[in-house]
Amino acid sequence: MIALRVDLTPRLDQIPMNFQNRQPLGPRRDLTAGACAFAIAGIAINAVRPDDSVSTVPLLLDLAVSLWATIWVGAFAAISIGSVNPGVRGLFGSDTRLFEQDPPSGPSSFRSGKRVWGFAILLALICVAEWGTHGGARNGFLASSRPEAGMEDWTAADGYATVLDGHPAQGDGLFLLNLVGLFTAERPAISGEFDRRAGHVWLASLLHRPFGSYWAFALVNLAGWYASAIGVWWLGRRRWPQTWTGELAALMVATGQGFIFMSTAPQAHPAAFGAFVIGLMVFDHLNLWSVVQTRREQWAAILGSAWMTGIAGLLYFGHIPLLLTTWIFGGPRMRVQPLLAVSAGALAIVTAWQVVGENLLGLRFSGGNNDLAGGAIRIWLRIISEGAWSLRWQFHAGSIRGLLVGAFYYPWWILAIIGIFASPRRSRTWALCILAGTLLPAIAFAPQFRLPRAAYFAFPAVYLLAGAALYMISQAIATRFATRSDHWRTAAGLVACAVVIAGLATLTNLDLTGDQTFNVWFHEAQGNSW
Amino acid sequence: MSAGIAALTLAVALTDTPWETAVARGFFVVSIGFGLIAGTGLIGARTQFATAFVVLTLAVAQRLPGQAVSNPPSPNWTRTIADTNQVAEHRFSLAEAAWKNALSNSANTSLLVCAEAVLDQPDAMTVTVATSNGTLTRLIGAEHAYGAHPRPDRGGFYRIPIQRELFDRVEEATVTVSASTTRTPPLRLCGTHSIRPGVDPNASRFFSGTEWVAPPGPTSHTRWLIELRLADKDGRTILAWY
Repeated sequence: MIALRVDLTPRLDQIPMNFQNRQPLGPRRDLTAGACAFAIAGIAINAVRPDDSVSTVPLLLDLAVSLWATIWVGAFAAISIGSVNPGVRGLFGSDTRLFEQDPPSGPSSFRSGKRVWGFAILLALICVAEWGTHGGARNGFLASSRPEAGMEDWTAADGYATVLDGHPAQGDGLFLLNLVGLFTAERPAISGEFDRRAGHVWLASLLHRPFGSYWAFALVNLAGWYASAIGVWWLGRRRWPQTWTGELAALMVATGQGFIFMSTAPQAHPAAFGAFVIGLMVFDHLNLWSVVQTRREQWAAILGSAWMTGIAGLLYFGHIPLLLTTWIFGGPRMRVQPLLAVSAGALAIVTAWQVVGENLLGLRFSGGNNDLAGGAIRIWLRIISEGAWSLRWQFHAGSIRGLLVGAFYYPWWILAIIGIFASPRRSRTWALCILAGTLLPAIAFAPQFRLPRAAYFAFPAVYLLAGAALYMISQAIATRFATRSDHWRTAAGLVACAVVIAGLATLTNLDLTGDQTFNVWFHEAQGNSW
Repeated sequence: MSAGIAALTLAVALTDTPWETAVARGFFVVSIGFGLIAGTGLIGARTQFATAFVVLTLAVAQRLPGQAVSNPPSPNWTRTIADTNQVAEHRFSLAEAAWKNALSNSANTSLLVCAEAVLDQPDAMTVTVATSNGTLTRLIGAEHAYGAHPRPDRGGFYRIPIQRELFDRVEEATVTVSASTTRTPPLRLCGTHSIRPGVDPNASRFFSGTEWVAPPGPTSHTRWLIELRLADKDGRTILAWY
């Protein structure tokens, strides 16, 4: 990092605005949470009686990272949300940018409308290509459940599968058909495991008549995938203006592990990922974070944000990371009333479906996947009641590091960490708040199931930070090796970015060679192995 | 204009539908559909109009005659094998390159049979594996339980190792399963769907005591849950075959 700064210093005028204005690392909330995490993780490792979790260096490091990440996420979220209280907010100094518009806005990297459309088409082509090559029996969710993947010992040769319209599909699709039948007026209301996700099934039911079950679910996934790519691009252009951060992050979404894993699986995740990104876009577009608004604008922001958050909750549990992100980012910079109003509105929408479903349709909203969140809370309470040793052991048995690496493999995390340093302060803070807001539910759920697909809601933050890092590195390379003209520098930067993006895409497409390692990790986390 | 299209969308969704469907559709047309239309109004009137038109088109498409919701073949059915005259049979095609490649790379071979109900006897069922290289007959019971058995009375795999030589250069193998003479209560054998392309849809069959018939479940693409597993020297499964 230091070397890069030295190389860039003489050419500051050629470096986009964002990267000239570096400030000391992180706002104090980040650092305070980090210091808390170091202290508590250190105590947990040293003061609790030794066991197998600290018996070897790799296991010790795994435990340390798991503890640090969990405590940082928890402390950062607690400090940020607590900052709605003026007393707590005062502890961390007043936010001088409170009355500035957030996010910063500036011109995009593309100055030509044709290039914007060209890039949008390129994203569409990549999404369709990835979606098409990872469908049917090659779907990662399905393939990683086969005995050859080594993850399950109860599945038959075809894995956890069902057959939709003659196509092999991930097995949960079987349990969605009654709801599809309800929406297409072919079946009465029959309660099932996915009553809470009925919004996703409604979307699929709109396409069912012309395309059938398999393609209806697959097309909804594709729509969520593309919406996510476009949304991350938009967010990147808005929050990292004058750079290629948004474009690079959008390419990472189009070739992203989580979307490739889901591809054509009849699952709500891609739609929920899309809803999550659109939620972030709505917050920004409506300037939810800004207190410099007319009353009318503020109500529009609250209602729009509450509505989008509620919709994310009708598709999957997307309202939880959205609400957490809202509170964590909004806590230090907003009044508490708008935050409460957004939360109440969103929960009202989610609850309204449950009230309608239970009372008018006889759906039970219980059993199976409906009850898993409550189960996770009960497990945490039991673990905590058993004492410090049991609590620390949980971070070994349910390695949070393994969960995070299952969702995003090391190269993305390394780039994202570099991106924290490479990003302007407000963009960095925003991304860290998304990280905390999305990882907190996944970590909280970990004692029940370690689900990288829940942690994958962090993809806008991880990919945008990684994109910022990649852009900075590419500019450093371009500046060093191509000094003749702007065109040469741009070309050199593009080549550097393309090489890295192609390398990352090769990793996420490794399953096409028959190697299901990344799909298996995405399915059930990495465990304690590095 | 967009408001009119939104109202028309709701009318299309609700008209002449069973009340349960009308309630469910109505909720999501209003919450998601109307929300989308209203939300895209922030971008511009043309975008809002286009969104409203798309939502209306989808609502119309939902009502068009087209593909019905059909249940897929059951992935998990059982058949009671009530007496010793009844036989479940599955024929494995071993001529495919995938099998031959995996066999050449494998260190051990085994047969998995899924059965339901408590297999608490050492000789609950009799399994015979026949190829052109010979025949292997084994009794399977509780000691052969393999993998997850979430409940004692639920289905689970039973595994027997098989000498690899039985499969060397053979094109086909036939496995039969029958209840042992001493078994009580009756054996319940698991079945599932047959997905893999190229597998004979009639590879599984059932001898009822008087005649050979197709196993229960869907009329085609159904099979007994009897599989061959090839593993490497570390015990990692490299091929599951049926």
